[in-house]
Amino acid sequence: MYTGTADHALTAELVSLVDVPVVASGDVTSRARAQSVLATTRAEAVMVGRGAQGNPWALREIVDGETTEPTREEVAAELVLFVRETVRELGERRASGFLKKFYGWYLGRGRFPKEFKQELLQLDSTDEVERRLLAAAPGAFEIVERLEAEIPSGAELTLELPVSIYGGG
Amino acid sequence: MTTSTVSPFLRPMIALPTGDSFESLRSAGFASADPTMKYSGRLLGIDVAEADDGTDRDDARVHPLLVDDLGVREALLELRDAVLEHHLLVLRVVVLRVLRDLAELAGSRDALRYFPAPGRSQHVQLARQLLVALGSEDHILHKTPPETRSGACRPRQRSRNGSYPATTVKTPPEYHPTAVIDLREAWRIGPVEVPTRLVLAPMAGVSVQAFRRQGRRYGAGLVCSEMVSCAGIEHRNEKTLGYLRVASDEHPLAIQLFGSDPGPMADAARMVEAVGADIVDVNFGCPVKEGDEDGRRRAPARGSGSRVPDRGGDRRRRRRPGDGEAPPRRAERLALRPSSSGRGSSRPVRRH
Repeated sequence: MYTGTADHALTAELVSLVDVPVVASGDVTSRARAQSVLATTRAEAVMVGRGAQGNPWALREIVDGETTEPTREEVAAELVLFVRETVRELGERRASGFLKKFYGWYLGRGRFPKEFKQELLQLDSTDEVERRLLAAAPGAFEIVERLEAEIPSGAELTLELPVSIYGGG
Repeated sequence: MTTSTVSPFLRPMIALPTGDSFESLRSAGFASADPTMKYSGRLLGIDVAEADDGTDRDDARVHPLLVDDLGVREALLELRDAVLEHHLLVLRVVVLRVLRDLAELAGSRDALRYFPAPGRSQHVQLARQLLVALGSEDHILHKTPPETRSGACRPRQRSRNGSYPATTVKTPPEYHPTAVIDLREAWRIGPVEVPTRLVLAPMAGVSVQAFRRQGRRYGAGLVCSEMVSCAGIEHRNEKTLGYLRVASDEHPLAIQLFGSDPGPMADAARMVEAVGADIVDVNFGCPVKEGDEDGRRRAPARGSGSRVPDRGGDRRRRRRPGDGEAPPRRAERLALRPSSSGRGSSRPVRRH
């Protein structure tokens, strides 16, 4: 994991030297920070990475200034949706390992007790994880249903690859 | 001092109303109190210095008596400069009362109704002014500077186990009060219009389709894929090609490539275009440790590093395959690499 702090004076210098759009990346974790980076560097946009891991609400805060924290139900619902979509994308076997880091990211930040995260990490299948999440935040079920009704599954929207993955192109 | 531990997890969630007064309580650590609370026999309140440790904001609601406003406030006053703070609080209440009474008295003596008695809504306004005082910077309930409070989504920025690293960054924010930039403004990268000024970063092992689509829903204007190996695309590696699956609601989308052979990189870029991505993003060196593991991922950055200063009109030409001091071709690399046989994914696949 990368750690350190960004020196946006360098970003500002780069922006002054080139005539292509520059995206400033590094330590953008809040709307105040994003606006200050955009103002000081004159970059076209900011990039958020670690700040958005398990925390899409940070994006909402940065773009719209929407500061309300998500409820537990909302957090659990987004995580359930994320688990389902990732399993569809990667398959259960890869997804169950891949998702483990996301449990900590979503459930941390004071949203759920640490023990609960530990408990999820012990579970074998993503089905069990989903059941446990919905049991922990019962209201999440309705939110998941609503989200799934509103948002089409990635499976319906994903384009076929123009090459066969078997036998080469 | 006695300590009791209550698992907040056994209790149903209670949503807190939001508003000035509750926000200010929460930021002082009350509403987000740890499962562990300390009671002192004398105060029967919460030791604020300790209450910020933990995780659950609803736990404070579990002990309604303990977080009774007045009781807590008095306990706090004792912790701080009791006399001064208390006087200030009393003074605020008195001033507001006087203001209200004045308005009322003036109303009764004013036949022409230039100063009518405050209506119900005005009473509410006046009462809210008291709450504004509670929410102000120098109020006793606020130990933290206001900028960290308005920092929004996350109530606290500590991380003990390092599991949520974004909060460990302690850069003091710079302030530019005049700068009000609309992040909902569209901008362009060449022909691609990006609807907001926020880009979701390409992150290896994170930026899967679910992550990108979620990011789009929450306001990211441009999303990026994980880094995709050009060699993997060249060999039609099944797992690599899986990274190229694009959903139609992800646009605009950048797919990130890494590689060192110009030829396969050009082919991979064409492939990225064919799968429907809007932007080809080339990884010229990234801070992740894995970047070095097989010697190829950072190769473009190293290879071109020495040539950057004299970039001119011929920059493009230099990238052409087989040109100048191109990195070693695949066959040469395989010959140079000591343990190339044991790696399933990077083994060259015969494609016919």
